[in-house]
Amino acid sequence: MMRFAPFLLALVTPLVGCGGGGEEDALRVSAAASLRVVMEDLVDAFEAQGGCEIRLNTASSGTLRRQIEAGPAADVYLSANERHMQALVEEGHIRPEAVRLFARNHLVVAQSAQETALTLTSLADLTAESFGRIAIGSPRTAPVGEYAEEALRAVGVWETLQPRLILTENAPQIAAYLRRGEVDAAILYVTDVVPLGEAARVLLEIDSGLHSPIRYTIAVVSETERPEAATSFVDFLCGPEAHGSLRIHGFLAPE
Amino acid sequence: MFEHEHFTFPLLLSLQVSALATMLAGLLGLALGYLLARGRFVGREVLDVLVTLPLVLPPVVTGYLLLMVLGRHGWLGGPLAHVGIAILFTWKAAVVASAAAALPFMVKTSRAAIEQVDPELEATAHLLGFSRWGTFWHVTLPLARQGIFAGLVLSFARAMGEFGATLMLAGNTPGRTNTMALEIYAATEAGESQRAAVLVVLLVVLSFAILYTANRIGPRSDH
Repeated sequence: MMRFAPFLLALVTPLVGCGGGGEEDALRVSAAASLRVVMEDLVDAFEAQGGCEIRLNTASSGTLRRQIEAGPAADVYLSANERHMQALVEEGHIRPEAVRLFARNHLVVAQSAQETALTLTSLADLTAESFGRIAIGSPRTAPVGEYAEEALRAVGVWETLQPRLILTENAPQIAAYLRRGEVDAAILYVTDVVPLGEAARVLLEIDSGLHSPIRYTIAVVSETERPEAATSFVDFLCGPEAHGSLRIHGFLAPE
Repeated sequence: MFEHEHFTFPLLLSLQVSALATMLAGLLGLALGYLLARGRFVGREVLDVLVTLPLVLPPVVTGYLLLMVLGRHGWLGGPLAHVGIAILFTWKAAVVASAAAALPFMVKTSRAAIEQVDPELEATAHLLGFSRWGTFWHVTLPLARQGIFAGLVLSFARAMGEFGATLMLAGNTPGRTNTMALEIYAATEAGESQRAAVLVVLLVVLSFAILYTANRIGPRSDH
């Protein structure tokens, strides 16, 4: 048994070795999970043009909100859901005038590229037999699911589709089902289809009038100890260079 | 707030899923534990490590691997779909996911317990005319019962808490696959902290009662 001890000790040593480091000084940015890929690009671009070091934390907007409520967890917050941003404003963690529009997104119906291509001319046609299982976000927990429910209700097929809906928690889960062809169709953000590349094909762009606007908002958290650095990063994200990156990843400009 | 779909259903589903997963992991884990303890074959330790993988991997990855096997294009899911058995996105998927998560606990503890049994005793039983199965049933199993029981308890506990693999394999559909763990997660994410708290207390009390009873009536040391 004790022969293990030196082995374990050797594993632990590097952790104990490096205390400090520059991480402490980095600006803490909490961003909705659906923004992860584009944010990694934007952070690189910001640091390359001489901006301060950024430490990116991605999770669902709700989880990030709870982290901010629990203590000083972030200097900048990017939410995929205006409700969470609004809650932080009401609780005094964010000043109302600090909230800015960052980007917009839209919903599509996609299918796995493994399957024979189906045609879909309107959202209501999802009731056709050929669309067996349809994956959507869980309306209770994932904003993408809330929008999908609104759109399906708007065209009057929400109740009919109930037994065939597979409720998922996040984009990676839907992506896994699409890659493996486990569902016949999925309703997700166009920005989540882009990274799937050849694995998925878009069948229909859902009319944005059928659901509430999908808007990403950004704000400096009131408790930040580095308001200037935080503001300069927010300004960068709302600038023309950032808009170019957003477009490449399928997002729409804020207005 | 406490309608059937989001309250009693997840409770009953979790009990059912955990019980079945414990049985599945128990039988398979005991067989594997015996094989690893007493078998002499090439790749024995490799098998042991493979079985331990669900402990190391993030549950979502375990779920994804199971999806590859049990999905409609999977090597097991495909043939099953042909005979009309659907596993994915049903409560059966939750059982499989929980059993996979619990399996390492069962294998590890039963292997260790069986290895503690003196092989001389088994050899003697064999000499006295017991078949291999008879020896296992009348000698090995009773002597290793404490460890095996511990494995079952751990398996049940792990199955009750299973989340990631279940989410991937079964989805989180109210009235169909929302186990307690998934429902608590959903309530937390939706900001229904009060309901989440009630569900957590319920899960803890229930698990406590089951595990406590099991420990009281389970086999104990004679000395």
